[in-house]
Amino acid sequence: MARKQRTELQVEEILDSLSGMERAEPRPFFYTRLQARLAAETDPSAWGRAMAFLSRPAVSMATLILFLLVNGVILFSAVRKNQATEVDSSQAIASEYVEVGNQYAYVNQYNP
Amino acid sequence: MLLVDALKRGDESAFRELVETRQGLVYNTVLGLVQNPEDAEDVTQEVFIKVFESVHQFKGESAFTTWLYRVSVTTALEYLRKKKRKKRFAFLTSLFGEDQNPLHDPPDFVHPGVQLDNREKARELFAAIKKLPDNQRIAFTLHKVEGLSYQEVGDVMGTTVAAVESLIHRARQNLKKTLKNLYNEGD
Repeated sequence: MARKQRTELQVEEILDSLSGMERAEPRPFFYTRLQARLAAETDPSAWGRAMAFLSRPAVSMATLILFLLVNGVILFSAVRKNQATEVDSSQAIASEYVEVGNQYAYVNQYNP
Repeated sequence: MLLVDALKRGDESAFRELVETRQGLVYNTVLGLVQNPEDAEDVTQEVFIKVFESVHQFKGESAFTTWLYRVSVTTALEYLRKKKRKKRFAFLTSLFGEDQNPLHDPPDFVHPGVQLDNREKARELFAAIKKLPDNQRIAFTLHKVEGLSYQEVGDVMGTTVAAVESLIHRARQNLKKTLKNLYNEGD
C-alpha cells in the first residue's frame, strides 16, 4: 500500500515537472541561417533540382518498378518468339519429310 | 495586421521582424513535439519558409499567432511522420545513398527551459509524452510547454474548450499509466 502511494506521488511529481519552465530559443543568428536556406531553396541549379527529384524514394522506387516491368515484358516476348520459331522449324521438317515421301512415291511408281 | 499586410507585399524587413519576434514561439512549440534540438531548428526554418510562401493564404479568420501555431504544429507532425517513414525504409534509402544522417533520436531529451531541479523528472515525462496519440500530444504540449490556455489550444486545434479539456485529461491518464508501468518494471 505504501509502495503504491509512493509511486502515485512520484508520478504526480513527474507530471508537474514542467511547471515554471521557460521558453526555449533557437541558437543565435537563426535569421542568417534561415536566409541562407531560403536562398538555396529558391534558386538551386538545374542539375541540383534534377538530382533532388531523382533521389526521392518514390521516384527511385517507380524507376525500379518500371525497369523490372520492362525487363519482364522483354523476357516474356522473347520466350514467345522462341516458341513460335520452334513450331515453324518443326513444321518445315514435317513438310520436307512429306516432300521426301512424295519423291519416294514417285520413284516407286516409276516403271520403265 | 500591419505586419501581415507587409508580409503579403513581400516586404523583407517585415519578414525579418516576424522571424525575430516569433522564432521563440515557433521553436519552442516545435521542440516540444519533435524533442530534438537539431530537428527543431530544421522544422522551425521550414515553418518560416512556409509562412513566407503562403502568407497570402492567410485570410485573417483567426489571429495571425494562431495561424502560426497551426503551421508549426502541422509542420512538426509532418516531419515526425516523414522521419518514421524514413526509419521504416532505412535499408532502401541507404541503398540509394540518400543521406547518411543517423535516424535515431538521442535517448533522453530534456527541454532546455525546464528548471534544474526538475530535469530528471522532465526527462521521464518527455519520454512518456512521445507515446501519446497525436491529438493528445499536441494539446498537452501546447498547454504545458507553450503555456497556452485551453481556449488558445482549442483555437489552434480548431476545436472547443471542452474537447481540449477532455484531450488533456486523457493525456494525463495515459501518461500516468505509462509512468506507473515504468516504475513497476523498475522495482
